[in-house]
Amino acid sequence: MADTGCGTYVYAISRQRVDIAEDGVEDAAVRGVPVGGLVAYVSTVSLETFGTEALRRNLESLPWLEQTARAHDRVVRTIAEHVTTAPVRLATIYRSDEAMREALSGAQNTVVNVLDHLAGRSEWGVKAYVPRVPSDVEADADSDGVAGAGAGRAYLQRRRQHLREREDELRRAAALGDDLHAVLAVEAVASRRHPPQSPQLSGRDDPMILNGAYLIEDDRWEAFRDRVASLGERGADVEITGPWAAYSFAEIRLDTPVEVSKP
Amino acid sequence: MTEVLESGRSTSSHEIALADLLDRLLAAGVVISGDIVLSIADVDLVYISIRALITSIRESDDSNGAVRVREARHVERTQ
Repeated sequence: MADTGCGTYVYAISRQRVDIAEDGVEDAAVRGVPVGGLVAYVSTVSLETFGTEALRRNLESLPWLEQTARAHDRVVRTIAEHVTTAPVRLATIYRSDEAMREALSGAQNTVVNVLDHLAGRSEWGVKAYVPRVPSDVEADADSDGVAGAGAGRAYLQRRRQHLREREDELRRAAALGDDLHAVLAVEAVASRRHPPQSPQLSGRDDPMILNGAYLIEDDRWEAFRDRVASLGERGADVEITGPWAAYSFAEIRLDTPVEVSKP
Repeated sequence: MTEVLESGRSTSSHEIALADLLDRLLAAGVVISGDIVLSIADVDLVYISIRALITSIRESDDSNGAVRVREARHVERTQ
């Protein structure tokens, strides 16, 4: 049976209340709902769009997902610009404010710990690439039309050689990615790596060797930036993104059962 | 204590690469069990298929993938 009616979509939790002029998903107004000593930022959504079945279907639609993800981020980022904020995972929905309040009140201590951990800190993203070295084989492949007898074996040899070189190159790139991450992690309160993006995702031909997220003390930001810049000396091409709301460092799973089975 | 935020101060969202945003939004964040829940496995699957989907859009229309996504959203909104 399809869901109908309205639900409560949760963006983030903080200690202080700020009024958010930014609209949330479905262009709905964002409200701050007090829960104990915390404030949950929510908006009302239609369950025809955000019900279980519809949500699963909609998440597979890239335009819908992009629109939702950007609205979610816009709200979370606006809150995070003003107060310490624990972002809630995308598409967390309750049947009512009351149901949300009930679930969150059981998790207050955990959320407070997360907020303490995030206070005065911001998430920064660092992506690193290594320039791809074009191999002889690829260069030859274009001009192979005039190959004579015996060229086949030579080609196979070159091909094997190329594969070996390519493997070495990948190993070195992976090791460099590990090194860069280790260097940056020293500057960070916490760090984690997201999966490297393929060239199709990143929009760059060079392989991505690091897709890292770093939780940095706000007053240590310049030192971190300098450290990132220094990575170029190691042969990596580096991009920094942020500041992000601390999405990558609020990963607590509060799976306290809501639907308690009654005897 | 209430602080009023002006709207329009965070207009840079379009400059954020969708892939970077989704790396964060779908792989992390506080997970509270909602009434309407996609299990962790579901979200992880969505994440993987979305990465594949972005890839295929880029491949099919290398330079205009992002533009197409935006046009599609515009159409949805005006319906």
